[in-house]
Amino acid sequence: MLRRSDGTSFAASRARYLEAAPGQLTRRDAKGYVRIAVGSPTFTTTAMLDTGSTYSVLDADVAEEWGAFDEADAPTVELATRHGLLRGCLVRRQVQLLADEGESLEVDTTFWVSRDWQGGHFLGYAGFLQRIRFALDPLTNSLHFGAALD
Amino acid sequence: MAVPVRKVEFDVFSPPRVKSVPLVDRPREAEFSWLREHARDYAGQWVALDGARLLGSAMRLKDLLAQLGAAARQRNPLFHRVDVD
Repeated sequence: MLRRSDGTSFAASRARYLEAAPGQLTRRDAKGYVRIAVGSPTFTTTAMLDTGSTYSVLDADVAEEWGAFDEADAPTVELATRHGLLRGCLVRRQVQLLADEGESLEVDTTFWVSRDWQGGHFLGYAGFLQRIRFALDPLTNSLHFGAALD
Repeated sequence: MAVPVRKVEFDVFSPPRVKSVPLVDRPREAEFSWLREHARDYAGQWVALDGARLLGSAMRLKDLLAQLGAAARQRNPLFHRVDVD
């Protein structure tokens, strides 16, 4: 548990994160990847923490398995990605940010999904990271996190 | 006169709902070590790992899920799409 100087709890959970995409660790780029549970039935996969992203993003293959492209009335949005400007839609899904210690967080939020996006998952600032409490410890690659009311 | 019931869909623009759940993932250091060693051989593919053991790989997730079957899914493998960048 991470505590403030007055002894009160800041965040009760911790998860190891990776500084680069699994499989690309030699790049040592400034990215943090955590584990999430997605889908129905759920399975465990990796997602990048992205405080610069407006939206959280699901990979097209997961979105398809999860029926995200079947929602005809979903609002469509264009998103600037490293593969160019892509059109996708906004869907509501529940994912779990997985902990190594403490409790995981279940987050019911909005994801941008596109059939053209096959670049993994992102947990964006708006609508996800801004609604939880989190801190990074780069010395131990630890993400401390919790619900805002913890 | 009967008033038709209108189904209200959850608004995608509403704030997220967040709650703690009593769930802890198992350590995944073995899976990540495997990826460090072997991922370059699977660029663009989905892989499923149980510890340091590769359970399967495929270009499409649905093919990998079909390949694994229920028993392997119950082992809660780590799924990862290896980036091509």
